[in-house]
Amino acid sequence: MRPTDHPEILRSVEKPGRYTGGELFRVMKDKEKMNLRIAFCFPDTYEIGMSNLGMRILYDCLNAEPDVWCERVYAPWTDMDAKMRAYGLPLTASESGDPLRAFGMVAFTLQYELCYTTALHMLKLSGIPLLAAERGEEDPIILGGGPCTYNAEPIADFFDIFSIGEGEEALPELARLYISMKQEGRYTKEAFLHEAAKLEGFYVPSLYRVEYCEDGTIAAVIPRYEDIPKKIRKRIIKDLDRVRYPLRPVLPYIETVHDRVMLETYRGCIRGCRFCQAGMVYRPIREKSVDTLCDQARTLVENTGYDEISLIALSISDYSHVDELTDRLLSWTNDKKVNISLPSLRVDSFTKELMEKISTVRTGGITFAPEAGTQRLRDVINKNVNEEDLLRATGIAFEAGKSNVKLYFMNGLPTERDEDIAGIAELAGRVVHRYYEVPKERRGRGVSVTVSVSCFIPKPFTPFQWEAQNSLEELCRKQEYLRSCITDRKISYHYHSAKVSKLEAVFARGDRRLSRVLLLAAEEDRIFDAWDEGFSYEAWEKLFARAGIDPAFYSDREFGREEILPWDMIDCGVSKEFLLRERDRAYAEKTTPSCAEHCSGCGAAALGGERRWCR
Amino acid sequence: MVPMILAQKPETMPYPVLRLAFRKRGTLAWVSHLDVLRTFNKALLRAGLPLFYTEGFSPRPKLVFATPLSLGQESLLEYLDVRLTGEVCPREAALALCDTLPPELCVFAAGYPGAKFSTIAFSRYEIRLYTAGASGELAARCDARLHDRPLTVFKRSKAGDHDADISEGIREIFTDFTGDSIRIDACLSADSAGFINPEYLLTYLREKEGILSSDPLTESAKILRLSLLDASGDEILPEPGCYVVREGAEA
Repeated sequence: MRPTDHPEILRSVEKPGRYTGGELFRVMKDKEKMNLRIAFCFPDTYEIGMSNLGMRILYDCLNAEPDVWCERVYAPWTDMDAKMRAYGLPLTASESGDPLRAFGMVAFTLQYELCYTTALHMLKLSGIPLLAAERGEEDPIILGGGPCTYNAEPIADFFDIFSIGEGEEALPELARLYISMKQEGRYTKEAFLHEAAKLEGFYVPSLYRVEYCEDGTIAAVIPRYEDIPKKIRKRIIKDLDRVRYPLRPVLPYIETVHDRVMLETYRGCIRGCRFCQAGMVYRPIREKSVDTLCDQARTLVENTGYDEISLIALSISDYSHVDELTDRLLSWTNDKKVNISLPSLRVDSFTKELMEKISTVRTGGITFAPEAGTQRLRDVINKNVNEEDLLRATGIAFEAGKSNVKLYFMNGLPTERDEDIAGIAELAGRVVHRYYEVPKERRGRGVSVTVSVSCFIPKPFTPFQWEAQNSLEELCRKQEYLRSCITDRKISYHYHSAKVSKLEAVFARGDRRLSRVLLLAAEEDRIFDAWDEGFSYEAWEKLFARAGIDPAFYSDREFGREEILPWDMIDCGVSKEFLLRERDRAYAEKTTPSCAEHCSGCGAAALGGERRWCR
Repeated sequence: MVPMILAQKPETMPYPVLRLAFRKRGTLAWVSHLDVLRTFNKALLRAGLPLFYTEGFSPRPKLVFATPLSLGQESLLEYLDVRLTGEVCPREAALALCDTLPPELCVFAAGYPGAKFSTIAFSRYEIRLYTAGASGELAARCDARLHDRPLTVFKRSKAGDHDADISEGIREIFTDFTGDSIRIDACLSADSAGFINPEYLLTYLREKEGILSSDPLTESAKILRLSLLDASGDEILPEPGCYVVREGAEA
């Protein structure tokens, strides 16, 4: 049964195209001939899920296996969700229209902590028991992957297996293990999980027992079998030139968030900002060659008809051959009216040449992330950019006729003082001033500087993983203080909800005991916590109280240097010694040079890889 | 296959415009007009047609649709004019587009346009109602209702929401029972001033006869646009010349 079988329901919901599928380049297979069917779920809306590069990549890799059919599943929006519950319609996969219970595996990509409730709700809509311990042999294996699995403990009770790190090779291996055990008649859920735990990069939470101290911290994590690893090392792809890359991605009909060619240029980041999880867990840096990227770009444009190529990286201007790459792309993209967008620019490596390249076809605003308002605090977080860099970069943008600049900052960073917050307003003011220094005839009309401020969230596997988050009151006070500092009407000010950031911090550093509160949340059908429509701090306060859990234990507490952290059984390549060293340097207000300048000995080099900065 | 460009535009000539006739069936009914536009933008690029781009900061291909179709409705015949920088063989262009579009959005004819879109005066629709009480008697009651004068519905428009009599915009209408559904054949005004969305007929019947108001799992309506007509009631057909029909396109 498919949503298209019920036109009156489709007529009654917003954007019915979210549910009707049928997209070009979706993979259709004969289900009778499959040895394994995987429902790959994105626990958010279709528009967001279809924009996710990781899901595009893994859909392609899994479907490359001739006897595996991987299908897509997205969370229904609240209106459709209400209809499905009212009429007892199960959640179905986009390609076959089959309910999730019919699949051997149901995989979730976990991109942000606030999607946990939506993921659980998707299981509930499918009639699959939420707790791993309550699922039997006939139920699908529930698999998790994505950035949240670097600390998946809060959802450990619901998942059978977590895939740690990059999945292009790991997931097909897991699929092959499943199929061979089934074919050889040695498959039981227990036996499969035991074997999966021996594969590199797979964490089976039920096979690890956690013991706690009286103060609530973790006493020990003990594997239940001797032949499974104590520490699960993440997987990486050694050579990005040789791994599959989706050249015929599923083309959505309805507009999605990133509706363009996404060309991944490299993984990892040379910078080492101390708050940034992505900059640590994707190490070591591995690049694709310019030749590969040029071939992939041309094939993707020809196959898709997109008029925009987004060069994906944590910091595109740090790609070692960015000039050669953009020159070679521009040699044909302008004629085809194809735009190149560089979504992650750093002020220190932003040049006039790069500016001219990105503004040749279509114009838009430009975004930079100084992250902190004063040099002292930028040194603490190891942002390694200074005010001159920012004024130079915004000057280049203004001279080229741009007049909209967006600046990202963070509130609540370790050691932050009020003068750092006032510094954000002053810095934005100087950017406005820089605009007026450009002669009238050369600048665009009507300058607008947007200051967008998020709240610092301590994340696992960062030098700031031990830090306490500011209290809710303090975060709100800081947000109001910054508002009072911004007096220039050319500056508009946006900030993220402190309450949402608080909940995110709880789950980011949470342990297994949080499964209790998530189970209660699922009972109340809480969904879409990452959306204003779904989030209610008051509801969460009540849930934590009912579960007997103090959320501040996870968010507002400074974790001890010697404490066993909930995610200590995961090895992301970067050593704890390095993170501690970096933390000490933060408090000493000392910066650490980028990987391009000097190796800081983070440990990730041991994972190997081709075309990388590590020496 | 990329269509061969036959001739570049001579300096003194206007840019050539290629008219495409296509169907919109099945799941594509749930893709909005704006998204159909985006889908064609991409398909035209994939097909390698020499597209004309608008000037300015944000160059776009120049696409003009005859008359947009509302969300949830299917169509046997839609027109799209595409401005090019050079002439192409219409047959090759249609084949290239067929290769790169889903069967539910099949381009079945292409040629250089004759009638202007402004001559479109009426759209003919087939509406099928699947409802528990469907019978010849209910069909007759519906038919009588749809001949009401005035036929007043609540209309949403740019000028504001208001009650409006749409009976003037109904050129022809008849209703019968087909054995499994009630079928309404309606020829409705499609000019820009008096466009009548066939959904209004459903709203009216829902109000007056209480159909389609109980269970959305068992009751449903399907709206299919059959043709476009000019003021004298003659069908506006694709230009004679090139026709391409893809196998299974009717499915």
